[in-house]
Amino acid sequence: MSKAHDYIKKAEQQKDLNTFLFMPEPGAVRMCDDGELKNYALAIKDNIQIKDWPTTASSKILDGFIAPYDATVIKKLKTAGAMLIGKTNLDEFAMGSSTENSAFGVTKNPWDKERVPGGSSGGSASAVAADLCDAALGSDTGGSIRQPAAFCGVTGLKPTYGSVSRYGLLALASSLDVIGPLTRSAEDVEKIFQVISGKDELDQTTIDYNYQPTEIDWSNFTIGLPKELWQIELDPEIKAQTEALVEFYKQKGVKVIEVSLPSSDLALPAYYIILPSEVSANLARYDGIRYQKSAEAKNLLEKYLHTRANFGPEVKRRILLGTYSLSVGHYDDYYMIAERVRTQIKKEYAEVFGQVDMLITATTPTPAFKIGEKASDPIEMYKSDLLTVAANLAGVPALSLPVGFTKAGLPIGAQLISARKNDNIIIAAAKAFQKETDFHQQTPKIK
Amino acid sequence: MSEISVTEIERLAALVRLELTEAEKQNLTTDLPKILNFVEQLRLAKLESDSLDKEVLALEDLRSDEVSETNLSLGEIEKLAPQFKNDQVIVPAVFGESEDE
Repeated sequence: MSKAHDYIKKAEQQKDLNTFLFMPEPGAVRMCDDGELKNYALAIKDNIQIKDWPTTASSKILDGFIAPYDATVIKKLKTAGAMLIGKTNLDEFAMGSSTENSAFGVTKNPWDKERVPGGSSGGSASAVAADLCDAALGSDTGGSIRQPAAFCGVTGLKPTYGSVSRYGLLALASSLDVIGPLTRSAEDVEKIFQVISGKDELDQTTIDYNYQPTEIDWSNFTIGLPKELWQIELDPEIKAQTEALVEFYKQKGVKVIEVSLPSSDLALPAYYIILPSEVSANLARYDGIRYQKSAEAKNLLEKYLHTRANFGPEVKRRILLGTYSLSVGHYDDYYMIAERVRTQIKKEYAEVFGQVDMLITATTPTPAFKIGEKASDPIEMYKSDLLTVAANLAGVPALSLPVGFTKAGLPIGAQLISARKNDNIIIAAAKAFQKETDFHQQTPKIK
Repeated sequence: MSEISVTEIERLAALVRLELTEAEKQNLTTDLPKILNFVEQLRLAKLESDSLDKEVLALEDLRSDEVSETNLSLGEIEKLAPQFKNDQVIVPAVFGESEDE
């Protein structure tokens, strides 16, 4: 029996993880003998369209929607011979850090089923960790690949903004969204990124990009530790393992210096203005006319209102927040300042990368939290992304890799960040670490 | 501490065509001020410049807006639209009530 069949069968046995929202019949998985990703079984976050498959973005408002075309990344995966074995759960329209905002129930963390897998690409991270696929695609707008990768003990890349086409990705915040791989190893991250990256005329924000793997000359390499991000209150075990990662590179002979990114504390507040503002515009298309889901109504206004009542609470909250920050009287005080903060953050990152080749921080302040623990407090939930959002605002690549476990057995992730278009540096650095350690090869004993 | 009244929530919801239950409105009067207080620090930020990054402002190198083969066919649109007749998507009446078909 084929590998795809085995994975689908295994996912069926692990159904209580609630990782997949859709899996094709095993016989319907497209097999290919050729291409750089032949033999790779991939799970795809359910906000990326695969032609003729349902796409829900974990929202009731997309009930009945069957994707009419392949996203560019899917076209590229198919051409490279990959097998697509299912669509994974996420927070509704990728708004969340735990998958608790999915209309189809929370995904469980395979390392501890009482805990969240992170989000919004929680289904993809959980699928890789539970060995239900070889690799997965996620999307990252403020940490949605890296935070679940850290919580589930897998490797996840948020590529340079514009290096991967967003065509066929259901938009959250178009100026921040980027698709990237979640896999066990940095080697596989590289393989998949090489296939999915590149300019696409169907996404005008894509840049000329031709990924080239690199080897690092450690004797001529400088790592920066951004003091503002190391001053954030971190779980002591996470801090210790991130320091151990720094030590690993020190042993290779790199220079390590402290650097400053003064506007770091403004990144999360700016993000929570820019993101909802774009959300309020991007989600206007779900109106009961363009998609199958459509409420009974006497007139157009009722059609809009009754159909859009299908959005979940977090989506409504962000649409309203965005509408507030874009409305007359608030636009200059919120949206414009947030955009100026973003401009400043971009500048600070560009300056820091004049001094160093790579930054290291923790990926998350805490390990995976319990289901329900943060559900009632939006700010506490938003703080899961404290260490990850700035990379989205700056448009730079960032990767989370497994660097150890807590005493309780939960995975710990650390984050590598490099300058725009230098995705190859953080991938090479992660590969070097994974060559000499085996944290990324650990698998949970799922009870 | 920012405050947002139920009336203001209703006004915002009307602008974006969102229907909210009474419970949702009540929750939002608590949640939105919490978030606005959190982002309040932005207004105290000392920013170096008034200018915005060019990427933040606009797209560059826009392609021309031409019909291409990537556009959906009528048949595909028919599958997507909730109501479709005579090669057209049926939209409810803007004013008054829609007539039964």
